[in-house]
Amino acid sequence: MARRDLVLGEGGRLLESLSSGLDKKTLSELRVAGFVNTRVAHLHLFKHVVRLCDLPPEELYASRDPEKWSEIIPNPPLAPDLRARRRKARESLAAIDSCGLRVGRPEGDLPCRTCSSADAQGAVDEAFSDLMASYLEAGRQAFEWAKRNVSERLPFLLAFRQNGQPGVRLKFVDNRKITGAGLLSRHGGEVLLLTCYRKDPGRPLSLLKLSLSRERAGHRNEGTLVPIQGC
Amino acid sequence: MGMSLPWWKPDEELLAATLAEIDERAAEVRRALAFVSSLPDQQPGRESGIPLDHDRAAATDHMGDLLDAVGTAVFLGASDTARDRLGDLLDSRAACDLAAAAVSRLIEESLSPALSGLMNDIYELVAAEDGDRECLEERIVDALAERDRVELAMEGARLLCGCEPELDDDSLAALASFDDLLRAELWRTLPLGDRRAARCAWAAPRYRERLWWWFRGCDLPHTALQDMQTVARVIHLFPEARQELERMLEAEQILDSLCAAGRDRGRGKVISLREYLLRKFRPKTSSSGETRQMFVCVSGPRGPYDLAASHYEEKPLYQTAELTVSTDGENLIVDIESPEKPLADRPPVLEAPDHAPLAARQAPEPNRFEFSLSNPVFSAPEAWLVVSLTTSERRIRLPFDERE
Repeated sequence: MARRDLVLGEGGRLLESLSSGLDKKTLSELRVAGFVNTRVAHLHLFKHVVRLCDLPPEELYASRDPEKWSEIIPNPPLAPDLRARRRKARESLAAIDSCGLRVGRPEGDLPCRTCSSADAQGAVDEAFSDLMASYLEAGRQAFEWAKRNVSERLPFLLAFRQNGQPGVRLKFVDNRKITGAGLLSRHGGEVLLLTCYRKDPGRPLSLLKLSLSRERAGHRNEGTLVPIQGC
Repeated sequence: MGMSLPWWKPDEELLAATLAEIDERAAEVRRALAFVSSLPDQQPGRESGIPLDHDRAAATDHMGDLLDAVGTAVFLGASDTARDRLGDLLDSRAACDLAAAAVSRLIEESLSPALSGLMNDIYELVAAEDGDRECLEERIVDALAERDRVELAMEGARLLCGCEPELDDDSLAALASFDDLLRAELWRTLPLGDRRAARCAWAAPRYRERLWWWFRGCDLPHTALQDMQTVARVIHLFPEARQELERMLEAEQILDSLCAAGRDRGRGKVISLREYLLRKFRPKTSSSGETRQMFVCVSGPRGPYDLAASHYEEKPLYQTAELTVSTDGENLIVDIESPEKPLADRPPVLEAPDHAPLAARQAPEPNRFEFSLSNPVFSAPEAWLVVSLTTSERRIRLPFDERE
């Protein structure tokens, strides 16, 4: 799950393709490989799935999960009751000595972001492997759906560059309203997730599209849009 | 040069999606209003004191969605078209009350909860490592997008109600608090660089400043904060240079105050070139308040883009047989008129005292060059525009000599 080389190398087909935009074939070959790094992965898992940290107080102590995981993951490996889910997660974390999310840490703290303990990261990966795999699979499915359905009129996927850097960034939304953002690496067209979650399940999909349309128009006007060819 | 054509047009796909969204959401709001008003003792007036029940909450959600689309249309310069699509909702007291409730709800449920996380992320951005930094950037962009939603909804409500939405005190205080805290730390978002510019570049130029959390300093490079470190090191190594830095800062402040004084006292005062050009561009509107009022007061049948187009046109300021200088409110534009041609590799240059010469960028159109009015050189009160042609060199003083 470590960060890969984010710089597109010379001579690669991907680079050639991106000089004029993302063509359909290249796009079809892009795959979500994981999160950009372990810290970011754990941060998302414990915020959006386990709901243990990085949340406003009213959400941190709420007993109801606003997310309907069954709509996203078939048979999610999650305790439906949020308190039970947190308790179970705390029990698993208690066995990981160097994990900052262990009991005793103030709730709401954000230790994942500054975690540099490879031991803790490895142990968390192992203890929550089922959950993380399901979560990532949901992200993969969302990206695949966005790829299949993107068009000029239906901007479910957006590619752009930032600050003249060679790497390409992607944003996407699927029909379940899962939104995500990622970096395109050169390794076989891997997409490394920067974020992925369902932000506002109650909001109509068309408004999420409108939001992406605004963003796309802005990048187009700024000259930072990477056009998606043939859509 | 095609002066009669608008230089800036809304993104066609975005405009089409926006108008379709207005139609769909307006229909939902009409249905919801009809349903809510049919319920006993549940009129949508806020003064009724009735708590938000499920139906009312759903109607408020629909209205929030509608205002997002209407605000987008206004920011695209298509307010007349949006007004046409809203039809009967424009005169509805119930719709206006619901609009205010929708904006308040957005502030309460979307904006305020995003604040503490946003501030933490902003603080960590500068020092973040690769991977973490890009993740933080997405989080910051997402949180600031909530401020976009509020601004768009407020603008939508202004169009719908024909006046400022009547938000409750708590909402106004929460919005002011968010803005105050953000404004104080906004400089920390400079590493986002051109992403900030892109986040407001979808809107018509005259509206971009309203998205100030993206617009302010969006022309600065993403390395601006690193450059501050360089300045600090220069001053540390060469304390004598501090005087020069302070002189530059003072000049900026004096120019700002002169511009403000010029705005306050009217004509005949020293103003920046930027202010001078903007006044030339829209001589009758001196503040965003007046601009907004102008949009609200327009009535009667119009073509879909009549009003919009009137704001996107270029205003010619100076014309000779060889060239035309104009502004679109965002750029100073130089068009070399056929058969004259610009000298190869010599774009027009703007020379102002105490500023490095600024070369124009080539526009997509042939023989057209542009200077962004957001460049610091336009803070100067005067400058020379130097245009190198194949046959001659023209030096034109700005402000233009009106007698020429």
